[in-house]
Amino acid sequence: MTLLRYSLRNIASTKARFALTSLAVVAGVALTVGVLINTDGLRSSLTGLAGRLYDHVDLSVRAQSSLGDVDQWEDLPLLDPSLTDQLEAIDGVERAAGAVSEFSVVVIDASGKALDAGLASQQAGMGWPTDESLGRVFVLEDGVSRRPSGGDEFVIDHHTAADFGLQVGERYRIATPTGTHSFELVGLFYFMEPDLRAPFQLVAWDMPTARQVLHDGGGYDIIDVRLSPGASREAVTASIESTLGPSVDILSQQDQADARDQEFGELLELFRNALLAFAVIVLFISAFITYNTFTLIAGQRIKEYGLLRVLGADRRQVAQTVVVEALVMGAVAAVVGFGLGILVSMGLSAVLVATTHSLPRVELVIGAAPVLAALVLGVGVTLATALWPAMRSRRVTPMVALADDADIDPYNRRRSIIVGSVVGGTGLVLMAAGLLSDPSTPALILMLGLGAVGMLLGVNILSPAVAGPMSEVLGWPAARAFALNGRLARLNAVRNPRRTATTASALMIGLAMVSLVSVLGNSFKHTLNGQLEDSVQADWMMCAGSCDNRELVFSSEAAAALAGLPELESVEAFRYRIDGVRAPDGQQHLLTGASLASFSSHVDPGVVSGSLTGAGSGDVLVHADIAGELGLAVGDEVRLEFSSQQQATLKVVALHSEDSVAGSWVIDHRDWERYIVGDQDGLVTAITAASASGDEARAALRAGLADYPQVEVRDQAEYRQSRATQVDSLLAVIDVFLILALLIAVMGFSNTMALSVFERTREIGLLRAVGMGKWQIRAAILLEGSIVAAFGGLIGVVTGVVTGSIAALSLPGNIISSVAVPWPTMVAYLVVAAVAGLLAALAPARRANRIDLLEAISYH
Amino acid sequence: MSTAAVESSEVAAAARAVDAVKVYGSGEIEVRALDGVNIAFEQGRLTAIMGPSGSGKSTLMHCMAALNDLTEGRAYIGDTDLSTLSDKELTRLRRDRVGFIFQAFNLVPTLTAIENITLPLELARRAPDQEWVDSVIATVGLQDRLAHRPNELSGGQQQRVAVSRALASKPEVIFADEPTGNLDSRSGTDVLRFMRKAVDDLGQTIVMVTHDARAASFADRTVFLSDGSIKGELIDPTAEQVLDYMKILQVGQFIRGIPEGATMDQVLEFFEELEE
Repeated sequence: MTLLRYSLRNIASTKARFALTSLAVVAGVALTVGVLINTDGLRSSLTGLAGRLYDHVDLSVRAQSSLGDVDQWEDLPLLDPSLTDQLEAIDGVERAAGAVSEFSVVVIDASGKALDAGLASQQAGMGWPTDESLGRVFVLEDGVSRRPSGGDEFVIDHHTAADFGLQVGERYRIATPTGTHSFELVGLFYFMEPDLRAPFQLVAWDMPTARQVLHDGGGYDIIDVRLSPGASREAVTASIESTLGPSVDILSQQDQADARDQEFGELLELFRNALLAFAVIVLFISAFITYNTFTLIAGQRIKEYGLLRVLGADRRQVAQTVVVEALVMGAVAAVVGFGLGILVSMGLSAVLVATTHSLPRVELVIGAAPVLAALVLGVGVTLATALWPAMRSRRVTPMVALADDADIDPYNRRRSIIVGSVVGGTGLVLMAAGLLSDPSTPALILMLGLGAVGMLLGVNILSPAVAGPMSEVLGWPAARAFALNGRLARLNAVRNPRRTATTASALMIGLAMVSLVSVLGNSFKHTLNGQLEDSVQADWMMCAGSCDNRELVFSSEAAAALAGLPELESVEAFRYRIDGVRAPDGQQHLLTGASLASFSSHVDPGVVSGSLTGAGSGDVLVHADIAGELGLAVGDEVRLEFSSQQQATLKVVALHSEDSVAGSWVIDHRDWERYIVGDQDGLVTAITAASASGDEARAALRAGLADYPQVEVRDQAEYRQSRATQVDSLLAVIDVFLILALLIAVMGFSNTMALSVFERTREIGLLRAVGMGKWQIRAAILLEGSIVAAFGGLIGVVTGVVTGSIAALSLPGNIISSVAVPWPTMVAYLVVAAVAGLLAALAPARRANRIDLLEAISYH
Repeated sequence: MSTAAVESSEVAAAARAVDAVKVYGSGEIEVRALDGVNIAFEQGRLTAIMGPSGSGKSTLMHCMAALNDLTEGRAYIGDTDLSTLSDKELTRLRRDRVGFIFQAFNLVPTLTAIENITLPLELARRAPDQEWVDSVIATVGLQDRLAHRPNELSGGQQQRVAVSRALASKPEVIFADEPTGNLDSRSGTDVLRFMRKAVDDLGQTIVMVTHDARAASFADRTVFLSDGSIKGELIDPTAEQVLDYMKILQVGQFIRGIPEGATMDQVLEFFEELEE
């Protein structure tokens, strides 16, 4: 018990250091727990929704699909309206009702502006259910509302109406797939519950109007079926199959709910993994901080360990005291981290709800996983980092208690160089293997990740070997500028290279990871910009919202409205389907529709072989990489399957290399209309006529697109800027996390710096005793902090740049094709490191001056 | 005095060294800290080891207390030859059979006085003999300071805690390394008196390294060490006698005529001869 008390009191006697050290682990745990709880909560709310969404439907029928996931019904051929009668004639079917819906239906407000979709909202339109008891849980608001009826009326969800001040009784224009039309708003409705914000802005017409407006008079997307009481689902399914044949898929209520769940699940997974990646970075840095702290503490307690040995403790008992401290610290970090994690999750929910305007109230669900994660990460990380210091404490002999100068584990430069080289080299080999071979993406990421970790560890082990000479160089300006204090600072940093390296290592690892991510982000941005620079030839690029989202489409009427304008020389339209085409090897790719013969004067696809001259219906342009995988050459025929279930054999007319705008497979508009359902455009480009000025062309485009205010008119520079802004905002989010990581690293540095000064209490007392002034001591420690931090910063940034560059080179060319190191940022990081070092040394410097002179000299 | 010396050899030895040699370093920087020491410390006695700095007295004690090993020769606690023990056995020996008192007290700063006292028992996972611990505490007069941390105690009180700690496990022998070295003379006297009482009233065996003649005067027997070997001993000496002997030892380093291991009588005899 006394031994346990010994460990506990050790923690209690150094509360500040203990708190600072655990803070790093707490942050990592809190982030992890927060993300887990938040995504669990999201999952449970969304799953609940998905379940209820299909409560009233027994079966649904839609066109047969073997391509894409079960939810991509908007691409499927439409169902003939007469099918509802056929279905209702089947024994056991009580009711069958068709449904129609389409995305990118945009309401234009009274001032002529398109409603802002926000970050995560879909803008959609649908047919009001002909039988409200059947599925589609939409509820008209009492009082003001009536059901839309006839070709001139529509209703809208009440959140959107409230957000944008839309009034019942007013007329509004709505941009639809068939063009922009005007309707009267006759009512408001809500989705499932009045206060539930669904992730869309939704308008509805009566069914015939919806079919006209959304499908140009075509049929239904899907038909929902309710069974007669007592009818067997299997039997009815079989009868439907035999009546309608193989052209339809029959989905049970469960199928649809499952598909929704899966869709939500995939989204959540993505969201969760991105956030967890940062948690891992934070934990990795915090592991270094706790390791440093335990190492330094074990070094300082070495005499006490010797004393315990004299008093009869065996090796195990000494090591136990270290392990118990780590256990307690880890447990505290786990508990506090868990508590903070709940706050983090609530914060995340608040941010999500605020940015998307569309999430249901997220319940606080605390499952086993976050509890387990907190325990495993909090206790595990702390314990793992204490293991090596605990092993070292085992080597303390009783004589250590009596000797004046005890160093149980003198620094072995040779060993550190060998071990460091082996570990770092293994990391490098792993990364190089990723660079040279062509593994699958998950394997590549694993190799790169492990390799980077190996290199970081290796550099960390190697760093004491270079700490001496490097501090000598880095300390030179200080020694020159600040005379005695500077020389002393430099000397202190040089004298004990292991202490310098240990102190610097948290900052080093932090900066290495931050620079690594910076290099990757910057290379990504650079690659995208380069591609755009190379391929965009048109003067004007027009898309709905940001040009990143290929699912934001607009009526092909928009391009038609521009076609005859005298201010324009030519106009091109591009339409896209994500996963819209299946190649013979089963892989699905982005499908693009364009005028094959003419589009390359607007968007250069970088044709590497063949030619687009005279190309048209029956031809296809393929990205060279995909052609290579399929063994296709110019002139070959290829059998393709489209998302509409149609198949076609097309002739490869050319291979291209630039896919940022053109995409992977490009077919002609005429083939698109034949094989693909829906003819909305994703991008329209234009070239100014020789006779018109840029401003005239812009004015003409604006006027021509007056009915489509959601479509932005951008010139080349604006277009590139808008794409860059998208990447920048992504990078900005990453930067926030990196700054958090950096903060934690700086805190760890301050902590280790304080320990390192504490270690020299006696020496500082002696310096004071021989007449060194307080400010001189302070200056020396501050300068030493800067030198040590600059050392850690430099090694960290160099390591980060090297690992980041290798990783960037290894990644597939369509993600990152060139390495672009953001040098100004790297220099900024170095300056930040040195300044942080100075700031972090402030507290230790103040403390050093509080040392009692006499006590310091007789200190033991 | 000579009768006491005869008596002492009849009492069983709590610890002894046979032909003990300890060499530090090698080649040119080789130092023979112990150069063939033969000595036995009797049970139930307070023995002082004296000698000038660098005489090897601390090394002798460390080697005999199982904290350090000998280069040559043997060291025994009771009948146990320390050189035959494994690290585990040495640990067991330290926790069960040996006590230690340091010049710098070496209390664990985060533990209270009573926790420090019972720490060795705790490490040995032995239930304290409450009666014994109480009597030890009573002997050193610490009853009302037990809940204090070391930094709340005076130097003398801290050393008394250290003495109690060494006594708590009823070891066969306690080694004390300059126990009064960090204390003013009054506190030092207190501590010495308690050590004396521990021997007289509690029947303990204490071996004390000191260079303080007054400390040595509390001992039943004082052994003089110089240049790594025993130069002589005094039985139940006064402080003055110890000081005289130290002076003679220093002089004797110039006058090589005094035989090694000479008793006080022999030394006086030598000087008488010299005068003649």
